[in-house]
Amino acid sequence: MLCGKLRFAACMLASFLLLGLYSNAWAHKVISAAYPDGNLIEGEIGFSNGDMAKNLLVEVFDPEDNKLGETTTDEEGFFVFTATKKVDHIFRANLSAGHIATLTVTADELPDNLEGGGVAETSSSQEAVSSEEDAAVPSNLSDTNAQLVVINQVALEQLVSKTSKEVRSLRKELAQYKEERRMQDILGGIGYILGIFGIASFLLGRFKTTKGA
Amino acid sequence: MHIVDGALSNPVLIGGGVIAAAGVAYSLKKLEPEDLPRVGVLSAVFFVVSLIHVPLGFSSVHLILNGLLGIILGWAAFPALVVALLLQAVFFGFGGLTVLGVNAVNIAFPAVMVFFICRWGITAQQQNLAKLVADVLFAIFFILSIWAGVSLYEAYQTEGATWRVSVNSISLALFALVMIYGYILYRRKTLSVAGFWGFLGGSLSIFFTAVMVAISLALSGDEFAKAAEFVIVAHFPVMAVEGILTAATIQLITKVKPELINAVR
Repeated sequence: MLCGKLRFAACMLASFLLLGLYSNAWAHKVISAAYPDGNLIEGEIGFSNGDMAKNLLVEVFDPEDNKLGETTTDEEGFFVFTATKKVDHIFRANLSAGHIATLTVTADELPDNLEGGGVAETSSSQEAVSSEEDAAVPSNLSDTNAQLVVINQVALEQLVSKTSKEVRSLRKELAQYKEERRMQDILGGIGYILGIFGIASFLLGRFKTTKGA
Repeated sequence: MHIVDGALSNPVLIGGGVIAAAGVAYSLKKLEPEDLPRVGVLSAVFFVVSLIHVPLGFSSVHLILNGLLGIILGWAAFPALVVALLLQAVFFGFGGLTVLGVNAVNIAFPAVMVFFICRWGITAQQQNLAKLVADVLFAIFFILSIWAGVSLYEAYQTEGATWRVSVNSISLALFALVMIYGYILYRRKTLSVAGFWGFLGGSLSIFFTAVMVAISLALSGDEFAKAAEFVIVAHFPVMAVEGILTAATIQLITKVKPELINAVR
């Protein structure tokens, strides 16, 4: 009789845990990161326990609070946004219950040759031209050498893009590693608690007995 | 449950710190040295139990058990929780160092309230009176869950039929079901009077904590007012889980080692 009731109680508890407890009030830390790669900005949003924010609306603003656009995260908490202007991009996502993720990608992390950027585009293309001139003129190189420099620049950009991809995955792993709770943390915490209360008990005992005596 | 750094305004942070310090000072003054090992062990329980995570959706839930701490420790819940919260902030990044005081008050003050409300019912000699008051508290709880249902319905009206709203109404229905089930168990004498008081204490403490979290969020700015109401509704399922766990623990303690409850004052 009692056994059956206990089993029923356990079933109720399990069904609660499976069904009912969807709520985001007690997730702890919001983790978010954004990595620019060319004119694409990739980012991820999730909680410190490894759960990622799925299908979450991410709004993008410039520093003057003008909305640049919006995107949504996929099943793994990743989002991709195509930057069209060379300005600071501020990403905001509301994970509800007081959890707000804010990410900033500054303008100098974005490439100079952004398309469709209006004023920003013309100025940046001018910069690109002038930088090519700068590279070519001071060393007084011949035409073939100037071409080589341009080709080298293209190769360099490809290399940078490749490297940033590699670094991105490393950064992700590092972030996960930092958030992982290890056994020695738990045991260390318990040790600290017992130690603190041990010292407190000693001090309190001395204090109260000397006061009493 | 743990508010993070940066979510609250400075007056709230300072106020929380002052109240927490006052609570710790008062309880240390009352505390006898021989009670401290018990305080330390329950502090460690709170520290570890928050690691028992149940992943749900893109979030997760962990146990708090401040009702149990309050019933057993009374005022001593303050130092126990401050130490455990400090170490949680340092080791796991739960909450934070600046919000330590507010978090301690939000979790420890309901524990002390539960001590004054429920300790009496657990140790009562007059069983009939304890039963009557338990019935009244149960009725209040039921009215509260109806209120939560109404506010969920309003959210449904304004936000439309989002998945979150519908899942929350399911969790509310489950909470009401568990409450009724606990009441039936108690009526059929499977759950003792002390056990039922433990159930009430476990869920009441979570409810008070949710209310206090909501208040501290609402005090810090209007943008959190909506989140604050959501916090209360969202905590109903935790109330049921903690109620069951506290009831089982208290019932076991009253049978096996009743002097544990009567020890600390």
